[in-house]
This record gives sequence, structure tokens and C-alpha cells, in this order.
Amino acid sequence: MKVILVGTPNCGKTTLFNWLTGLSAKAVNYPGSTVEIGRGPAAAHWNLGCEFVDTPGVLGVMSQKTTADEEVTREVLRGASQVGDLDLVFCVMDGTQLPRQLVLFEQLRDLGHQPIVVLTMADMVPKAEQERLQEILELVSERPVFWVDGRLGGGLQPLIDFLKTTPRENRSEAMERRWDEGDYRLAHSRIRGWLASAAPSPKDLARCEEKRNQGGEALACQREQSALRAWTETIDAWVLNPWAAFPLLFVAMSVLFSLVFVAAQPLMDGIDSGVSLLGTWVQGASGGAMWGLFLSDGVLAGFGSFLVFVPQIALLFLALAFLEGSGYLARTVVLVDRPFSKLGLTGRSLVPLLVGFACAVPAMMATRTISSRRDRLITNFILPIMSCSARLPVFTLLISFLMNEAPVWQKGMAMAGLYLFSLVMGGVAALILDRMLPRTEISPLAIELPLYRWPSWRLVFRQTLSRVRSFVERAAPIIFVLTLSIWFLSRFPVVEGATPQEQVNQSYLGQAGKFLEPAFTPMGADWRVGVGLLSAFAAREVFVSTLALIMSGSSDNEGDTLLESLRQAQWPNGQPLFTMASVAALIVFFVIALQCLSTVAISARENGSWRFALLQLFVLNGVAYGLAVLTFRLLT
Amino acid sequence: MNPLKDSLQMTNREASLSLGELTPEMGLARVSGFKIGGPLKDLLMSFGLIPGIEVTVEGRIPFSRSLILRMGMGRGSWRGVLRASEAEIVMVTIEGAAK
Repeated sequence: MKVILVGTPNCGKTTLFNWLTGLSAKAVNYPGSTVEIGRGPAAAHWNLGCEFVDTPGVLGVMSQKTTADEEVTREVLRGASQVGDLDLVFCVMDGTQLPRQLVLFEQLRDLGHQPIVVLTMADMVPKAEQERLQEILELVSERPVFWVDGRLGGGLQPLIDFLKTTPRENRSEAMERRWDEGDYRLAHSRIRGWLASAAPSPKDLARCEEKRNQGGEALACQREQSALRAWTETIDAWVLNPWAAFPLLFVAMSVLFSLVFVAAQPLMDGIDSGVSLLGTWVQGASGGAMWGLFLSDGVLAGFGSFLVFVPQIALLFLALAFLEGSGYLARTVVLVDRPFSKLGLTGRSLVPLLVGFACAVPAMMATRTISSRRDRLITNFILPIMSCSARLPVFTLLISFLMNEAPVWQKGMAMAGLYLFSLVMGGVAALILDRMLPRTEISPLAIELPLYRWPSWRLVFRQTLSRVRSFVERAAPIIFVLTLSIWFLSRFPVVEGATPQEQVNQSYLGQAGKFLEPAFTPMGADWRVGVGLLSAFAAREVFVSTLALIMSGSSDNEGDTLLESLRQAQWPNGQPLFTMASVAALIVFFVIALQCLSTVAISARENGSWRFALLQLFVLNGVAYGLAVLTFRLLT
Repeated sequence: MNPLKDSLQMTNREASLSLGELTPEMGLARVSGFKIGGPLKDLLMSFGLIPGIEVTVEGRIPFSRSLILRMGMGRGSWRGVLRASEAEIVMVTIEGAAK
């Protein structure tokens, strides 16, 4: 039996899904957290032959204006998705905020479904109130209603027992017709009618009120919720204060990025060293045979090229999950909405842009919560300009070249300046697109401000793991294959007796670089740098190891070896190859260029258009090239 | 408390204004309808601005005209943010205006 979980954003759907399946899907205190469906069989201990499907939160299923994630839910309900036909619909509702969520329930009924109401936040609602609401909803839906406690998993057993006996939902012809003909925009007025008729009599209300007032548990619940509300209002007095809001936002983001970059560095160094050591060992064991080189420089290097950034991405996800879980992220979205709207973006663009500082691939997936296709396209277009982790080694090398003698803090400032530069360039690009693309649709922002809660660390860690896993599963194969391709191009045809440097020179990649040298020269780069730039299309950080291989004959880029090689590199006429002008041009190129082919692939998928992705590829690289040439000319 | 049921008892005598015009000083109001239909109305209704529901403007987002709203009353209430331009289409009546 296939059970679909449908509900409004942030109603506790994913938490319920996790309890039912024993999985660890992302569940957060921020609207729009589920952007894809989650599927899983019932956890073994429930002894239930059921598959559960978690859908993205939707405010309604009848609106003509839907976000990409709402469209996913609609497709699942229609039986038109990969999930196939459904057997039962759970309408999951936050029991503390029932009135607004009844709209979705009524719409599901209008479509002909017979949803089973599952009310969450049982721990926040007094028992007497639970009974009253359950009574009303059971009367209206003519189906049993269940309360569950998402925090502790209470109330699940009756739900499981029900599933063991319940008949499947009958998918009526009328339901099919409504979906197929689009005849599903029924009047909302019915909801008022049935609520009015189903509402308890004044006598019943008085009885419930009396029970509420008598119960010690009720008082405890009320106290807990009142405390949360008071806590939320106190924090919001600062967080949404005209004077404090933006300084606090700046501090929060600075702390977030400092923690991410500082804490990730030892882990990244550890992985880098581990992969290098393993590679050296494999090469030694193979005695320099081709299979050893393939394993060490191809497979291991390819694997290491994305693995090395996983700690940073994981820490960023962890920090974002914490902010989401606490309820602060929803505030940041509404705070930046106004300034972002000046650039043609929306407040909802913030989270994807933040994720973009780690990697553009998950960032593009996060844009699904943006309802306006125009806003989503603009956000997706500028995402590759955000300085992702893969640019760090490149920037580190180039800044070290330019500022070798400078103290560490100055190098740090230069790095921060590059991040700021990428933000400014992204803003300029968004502004240009905003002027170019006609506004043909409204782009509303209606967002809930959840209560502040101390996030559950268990949930935060589980959702971080889930997101990292999703990233690795999606990005790793693409990066891996591209890295291997670059390795093959740099290793073949095999030149007998050649040094590694000579081998690269005469390889297909080297030949391509020499062929394209006239294109690189205007930005101050020769064919060797050009080969590095071409190899960066596999993954930007590959630029450093390729450059090391070509310049020094070794892919080891540790210490000053590579820097020294760069300083000694010359044009055929004896002029130095790497100057302030050529390195600055390279920096400008790397800030803007879209070299990551996995990002291009994801962009095509997320925007449903290869034309858009290819346009993005050509425009961003064209602008990057043009500005790099300009920079070189100006500084020469 | 059943806001939707209560809405049935509202009369046409009550003065109405748009949600965008509401200020924190005006206190409690009730959603009475929408100036226009269509997708935006659907979205706002799904957001919780159902005719009959109580709504209070608690303030505005700094450097923006977006409204901080409290919808519903008591324990079942919740807070949300809506742009002023979108709030313009929501009609509200101030509680007790006609009483």
C-alpha cells in the first residue's frame, strides 16, 4: 500500500515520515524544506507492508500559481509522478494552527480524496482541546483522526493499527475527471459551511473549556506554548528591530562563514593528505605502471577532488540546518526580501545563494521554493558566480602569488574581498537580467514566522547527513567522470620515455591547449595556463593540480614548489608569464566563469531547459573572458 | 473559537479597508474578502487569510513595507509576513467598527 503524506509547509510532515519509515529525511522549522519527494518503506518494527511518500509542503493544490515543489505534490496526488497510483492520503496538519490548514484539507476533499487527518504537535495542545478538534474533524471527514507527537513519536501506534486494517482510497472517476479537465477550482465557501455545521454547540464548547481549565496537563501545555511565544516575541523585538536587524544578520552570516571555513580546514587538509598518501602508495606499489597512474592520478585524484570539499559543504549545511531549525532563517528571508527585490530577486533567493557559497549544485536544487519562474531563473543564473568552495584552492594559489610576502591577515582580507567581488558581480548580473526579462507574473512573498525553538541536535545532524549524501550522490559521479576524462586526455597518447611534464605537453589536452593558445593570449595566458583552464571544466580546483603538473612536472602543489615554478615560467621571448596583470585577469576569470560542468547539467535539469543552461555557460564564460582580457590590458 | 463560523455572523454594515492600510494601532481586524480573485487570492487564502479570520498587524519589516501579521487568536494564532502590495487586495473590517 502506498501512503502519501500531504500538508502545508512546516507542519511536521517530514518528521512523521521519519518516524514511520525510520529514515532521516530533512525536517526543519522553516517553510519549504522538502523540495523533492521522499520515499521509504515502513520501518521494520511496525510490521507493516506500506510505502510512505513524503511530499513538499503546499499551501494548496488548486491554485494555478504553483512553485516547482508544489507542482511535485500535485503530480503525486494526480498519480502522474514516478510514485504511480496512490492508495491513501494522509493530510498532515499542525494541530496548533488548524484554521489555515483546513483549506488544504478541504481542497483534497474537493478533489475526491478521502484524506486521513493526522494532527501533529500533540505535545503543544492540551488533551481536552485535542479531543474537541478530533471530534469535529472526525465528524466532518467521516474518517478517523489521529494526533501524533513529532518530538517523541507518541500516538503512532493507533495510526499503524489503523493502516493494518484500513481499506484503500477509492480513486473515483470523478476525481480523474477533475484533474484531467482542470475542473478543480471549486469554491472555498464550502469550508465555512461544513465548519459551521460541524462546530460543537455552545454547550459542548463550555464543557471543553471547563475540561481545559481543570486539567493540569492543559495548563502545562499552555504554559509551554506561552513561554515559547514570549521567547519568540522577545527575540523578534531584536531580530526585526529597524536598528538591530541588519547588523545582527551581518554578524550571524559572518559567524556562520567563519565557523564553516575555519572548522573545515583541518578536515580538508586531512582528506587531501590522505588521498595524496594513498596515491603515492599506489604509484609505488605499481612500480610506475599505467594502472597505478590511472588509480592514483585518475581515480583517487578524481575521488579526492570532490571529497576534499565535503567537510566544508557539510559544515555549511549543518549551520543552515541549525538556523532553519531555530526559526531564524525565515526571518533572514523576510529581511533581505526588500533589498533583493531591487535586484530582481526575492527573499527566498537567500538560502540558495548561501548554499551557493559551498556548491552551486545543491544551491540550484534549493531554488525550487521560489514560486516565480522569472525570479528562479535569475537566481539560478547568478548562482555560479557565488564563490563556491572549489574556487578556494585557485584563489589561495593566485593570492599567494600576488601577496607572497604579505602577512596572513592581509591575504585573508584579499580572500574576503574576492567573496565580496563575487557578490557584487552576482548583484550586477541580477540587475541586468531584471531589466532584460519582462515581468509577466506576480511574485508574492507570504511566509510564516515560526516560533523560535532550540533545534534538536539529533535532527540537525541527521538532516545534514541526508543533504550531504544527496549532494555526493548527485555531484560525485559527474565530477568523477569528468576528472577521469581530463586524466585520459592528459595521459594519451602515451609518449615513451617522456617526463610527466613532456607527457602533458604532447597529450591531447596539451595539443588542445596549444591549438587554443591564441584565445588565451589576450588575457595574458599561454597554452599551459589554457590547459589548466580547460581542465578546470572538470572541477575548478583541478586547475591547481594541472598547472602544477605542467609547470613543475609534478601534481604536488604543496609548499612553495608550484609558486616558485610560476615565478620562473616565461613566454618564449623571456618575459615572465605570471605577472600581476595576468594573475589578476585569471582571478577575474575564475570569479565569473561557469566552468563546473556538473552545475551546467543540474541547471539544465532544474530549469527544464538545456538552452538556458548552455546560454548560461556561454554568457558567463564570455563575460568572464571579456573582463579578464580587459583587466589584463588595464593592468599591463 | 471558530473564526470561520463567526464570519458568518458578520454584517454588511461593517466598514472595511484593505489589509495594507491596517496599522498596529488599529488593533484586531477580520478578513472580509478580496478585491480580486485568481492565483494571488488562492495563495493568500492558503497562507491563512481566510474570510472571517482575525488578523492584527504587529509591525513592519525594517526598511520594507512588508507587514508582520498575527492571524487567528490565542493559542491557535500564528505569525507571518506579507508584502504590502499583496496585502492591498485583502479586505478587512476593524473589529467593532459597526457595533
